[in-house]
Amino acid sequence: MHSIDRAIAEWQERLRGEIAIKSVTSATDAVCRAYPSWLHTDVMAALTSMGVQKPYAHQVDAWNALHDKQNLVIATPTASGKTLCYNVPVAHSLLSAPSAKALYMFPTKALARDQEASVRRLLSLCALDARAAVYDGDTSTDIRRSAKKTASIIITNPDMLHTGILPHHASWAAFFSDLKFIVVDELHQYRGVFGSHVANVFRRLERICAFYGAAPQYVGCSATIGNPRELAEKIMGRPAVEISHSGAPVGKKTFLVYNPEVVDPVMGTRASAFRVAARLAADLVKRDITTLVFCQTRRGVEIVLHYLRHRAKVAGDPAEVIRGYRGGYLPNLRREIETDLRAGKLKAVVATNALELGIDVGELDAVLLAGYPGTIAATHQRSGRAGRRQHPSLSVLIARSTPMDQFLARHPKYLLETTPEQALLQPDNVEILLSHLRCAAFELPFGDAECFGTVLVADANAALSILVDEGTLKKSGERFHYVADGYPAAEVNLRVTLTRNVVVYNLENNEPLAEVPAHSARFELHRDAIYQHEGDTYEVTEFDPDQAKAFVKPVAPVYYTTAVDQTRINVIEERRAKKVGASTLIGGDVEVVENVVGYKKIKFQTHENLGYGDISLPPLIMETEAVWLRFHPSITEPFKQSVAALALEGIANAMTQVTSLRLMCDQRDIALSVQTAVPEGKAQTHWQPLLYLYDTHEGGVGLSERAFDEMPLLLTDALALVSGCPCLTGCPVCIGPPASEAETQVKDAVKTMLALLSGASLDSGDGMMN
Amino acid sequence: MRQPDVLSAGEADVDNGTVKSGTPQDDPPQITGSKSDIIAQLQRRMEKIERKKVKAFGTKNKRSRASAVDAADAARCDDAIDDVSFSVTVSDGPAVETVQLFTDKADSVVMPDTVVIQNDALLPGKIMDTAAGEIWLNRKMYPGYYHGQAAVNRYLSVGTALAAFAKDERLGALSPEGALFIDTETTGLSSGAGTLPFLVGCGFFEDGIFVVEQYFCREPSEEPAQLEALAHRLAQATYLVSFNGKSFDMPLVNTRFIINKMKNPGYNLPHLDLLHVCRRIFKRRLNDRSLQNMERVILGFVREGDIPGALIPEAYRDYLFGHGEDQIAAILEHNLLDIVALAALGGVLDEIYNDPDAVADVADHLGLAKEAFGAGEMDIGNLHLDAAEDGGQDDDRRIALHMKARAALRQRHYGDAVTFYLKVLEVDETDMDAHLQLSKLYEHRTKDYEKALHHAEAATGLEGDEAGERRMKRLLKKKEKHDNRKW
Repeated sequence: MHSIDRAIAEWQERLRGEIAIKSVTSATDAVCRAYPSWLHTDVMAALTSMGVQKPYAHQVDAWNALHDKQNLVIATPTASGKTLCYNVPVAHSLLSAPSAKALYMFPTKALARDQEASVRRLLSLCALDARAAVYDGDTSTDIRRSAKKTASIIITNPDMLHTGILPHHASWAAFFSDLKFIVVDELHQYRGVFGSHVANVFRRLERICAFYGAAPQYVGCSATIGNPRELAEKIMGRPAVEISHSGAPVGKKTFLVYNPEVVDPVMGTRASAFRVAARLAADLVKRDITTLVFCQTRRGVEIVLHYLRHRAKVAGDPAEVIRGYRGGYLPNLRREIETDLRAGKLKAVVATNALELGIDVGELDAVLLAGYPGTIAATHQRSGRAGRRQHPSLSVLIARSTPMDQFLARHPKYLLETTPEQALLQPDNVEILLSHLRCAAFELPFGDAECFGTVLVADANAALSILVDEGTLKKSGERFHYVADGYPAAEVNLRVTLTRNVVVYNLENNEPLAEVPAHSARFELHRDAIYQHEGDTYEVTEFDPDQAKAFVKPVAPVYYTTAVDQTRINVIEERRAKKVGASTLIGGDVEVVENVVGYKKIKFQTHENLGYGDISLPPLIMETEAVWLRFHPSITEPFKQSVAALALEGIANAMTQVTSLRLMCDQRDIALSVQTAVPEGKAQTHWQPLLYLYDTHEGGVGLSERAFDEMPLLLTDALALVSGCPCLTGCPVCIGPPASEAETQVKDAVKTMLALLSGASLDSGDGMMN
Repeated sequence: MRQPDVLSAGEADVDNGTVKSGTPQDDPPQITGSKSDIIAQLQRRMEKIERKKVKAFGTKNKRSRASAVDAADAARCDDAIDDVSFSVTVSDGPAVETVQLFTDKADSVVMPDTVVIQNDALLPGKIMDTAAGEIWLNRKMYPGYYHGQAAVNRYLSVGTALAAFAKDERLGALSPEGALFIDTETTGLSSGAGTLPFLVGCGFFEDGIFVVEQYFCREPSEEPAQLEALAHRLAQATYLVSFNGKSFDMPLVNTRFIINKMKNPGYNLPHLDLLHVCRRIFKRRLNDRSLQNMERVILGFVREGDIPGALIPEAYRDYLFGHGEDQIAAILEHNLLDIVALAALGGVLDEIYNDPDAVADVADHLGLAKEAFGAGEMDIGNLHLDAAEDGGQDDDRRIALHMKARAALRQRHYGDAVTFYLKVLEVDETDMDAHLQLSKLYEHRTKDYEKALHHAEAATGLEGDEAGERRMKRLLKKKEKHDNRKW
């Protein structure tokens, strides 16, 4: 019996929690091929000296596809040797034509440095003089100058391409003229609003390449997601062939979902995932199983690290073989940890997703996820960190008490059988499109017969004429010229879609305590709110939304606070509608007016309501896209209005959970809200509730459009979630905690209403996920 | 506990390693939304802006973002794409007014096909034909012209000063007749590809007469012709003179040549950037080293009614959108003045470099001396330092003496160096640097440890405690040894 299997067997006996899911994947052998005959012998020799006797099938497929001048997306699992898929053809092309150039793009600076080292190694093994240079915000002026002139491979990030390279393309003329390859690694990072921006940066890149007469080939690499080719084609703006069958060998993999024991039966709270992670990691380390623990936050890393080292010390084991790894650690320290991990000097590393991104850390036996990473794709990616050799490996997802994690623990098929999420983006969102057309026209006058990537000429012209009207462009001759002052790329931040975080200062020592996203800050950090942080409680004495600061002092109250918000949604336009059961689903534009009006004081333990307080903050107003359900009277009328109202809130709670799962979006990207429609100018004759789901980005980014199409599925998911939840009266996992324990009808009402909406019977709804 | 199925089905067929084929490359990509989608979004956007505008006027302080800016945005969009025509009555605002929102154009997008050249009746100059089309040319000659107190033609007798100033010896051998004075007016101050130098002014000597030619784009589309005209001038020039042209105008012009796929004949020309020269020479007395200030202080010329540089981009944009030819006339005048000032300034700089008597302010001698020393023209440098030593305030004298001493040190004239440093101490006996240098000179050159020790003591504090103490200890030891040997 392998030590991993022995560990699992002992856990099953000893641990008080439950192994909710166990899934074993058997080992597969490597599928190798011979080197293609066209490959330059120097590259072959270099690969052989690196220990690659025979390349994997997918690598050879990738090389052949690129050799055939195709554009490519590679979506094989973590650690299947994707880097060689593009480095080899680039090296080959440099050997054949020394003036050839390649542009590599990674989403982070750290990854760029990591890849710089690896590509340089290959270049030198091929005896190539060619230089690979990182060009990003950290590159010094001198190196920038020489990189532009002499580097064959420029390694950068989309932000630098956007603000630093494209607007100054004239000084890159030589580079662009010979550009042969554009490599986009970690493609799956470019989704949502960020991805939509990046797709437009690529449209600009394509114009510049065309201007210098270059027609580079594109290579994208993605982690396992539901739609790698679609994503690649949208980002790169051209058709691509997909390679997703890995020829790399895989050892036997065991995947567990571990649900810790319940410690507070009243609240349904389970033992801390951090503590459990430390306990399991300590056990694995003792068994000499090299372990990586992933936490969702930097703070989580520190907590688990603290527990784990403490355990080692108590047991008299060395603590220095256990390290943390997260953003905020200095680059040198991170490099050192990576090196030590590769060299087998470390037994356990506790990390945030800083380590997830393709950084090579060598071979690991086990991965523990302290909490669900938020997507199936990320779960796969992190789990894939274990088992690089063909040895058995283990990954364990430790469920937290959160609704999402508990849902997953109860629905094994969700994690095991659902296709990984699709990466969504909408490059034709006009706000994003217009901001990049400004940049594009700045870079080169825009011809009136020119398209913009996949944006057709007529559409491009329509958008450009908007920019003429705003005074940014002037049409002169057949071209639109940028005539405004300024530097449009500086106005467009690819990554920031929400306002900055609010910094929480502890008045006791005037030190920053935490950072809270601006949106949540309105709920969590209003004056007199009780703010909880690392198990300590603080009272907010001042909240300044303009300065993005809040000040708190430590207190020990018997209560906590929850803000009472009123979200009013005004429909601007109904654009499409369809029937969902007997009810109507409508898609269109709305105005969301959000007011935080007051807060409740809730007693710890008993959850009694101890009173209310007022909050005076200006409303937030946003125009966005939404879908909303107009319930047929047959859905709501069987219930007392008070019960139906609570049930609708319950549906919103459940839908929030399942929608973020289905649409692969951040919790912040969507919101659900129950509204009571009051027809304007008419007396309120009867109660007519509406359930809205809207994009939380100004203008919308296409999530609610997707929800419009997928609504039946979302409703079925929600029903499965609620029906499968063992609670009696509702809990955070399904419909939210009940207002009072006596309110037993609400959960039943939710189930009935969801069943009616989704057209499913209660039983089948329950069965779907289990 | 549940025991779900083993996950293996998906992994079993890896040896197929198949490549899924994408859409064939020659097919048009079928990826994003249709034409109507984007246009529909654009129309919705227009309507949103319109709503914000109505809100901004309709309700006070309802929403800070729907401010006058949005209203202005909306106002600019009044005849954009749309095939609907309607109007909204805005009430409760500053005044009741009816706003025409959309015009009733027949097609969704209407753009003029022909370029309407702005009214150029008010502009000095005329249309010039080039191989790349028409460009507006304004040409002005300056025979016997004085800019303030400086004759423009003085530039024709400039000598080696230029090579010293430019730190480029190629310039020394070039005749002043080959100079091309260049200055551009642009749509912005950024260095990116989208900044358009809509006006390029070139000054040069033609048969001994200073001439300025200005190439002005009445439309951005005239740029190729402008560059063609400029290329012609650049091809005849042997070097460039500018004010900040090294880091701004010429890189910008080069970018324009690249963007228009034209060759830049000025790419490798030697370049004398007077901004850098003025910064160095006048740094001790002028904080504002803009060309206009140089013109005022050094040339004695005061501009009247000049358009401020900061307003130029906006003025050109106004002109492009149909108003403000008079502003363009002002910009042409502004650019003319900049170019003549450049030539006049070049002449004056050469004058004061070669003739210390022509220097107006003693402080300038120090800067000029530094230029001369930098170029290896020790005699000229020393003349300026003599002048500074004779006529300057204590501080000027002290610096002049220091410079002389350092020059002497470099030439290994140690005796002279000692003399100069002693003179420094006459001006300021607390000058630590002089004490330190003297201590070193006495220690190493004349082996006069007594004096070396004396100056080392005085210099303590300059080197920091530790270094000073070490020096003192060493000197004491040496002195002792030396004294013993005497016995």
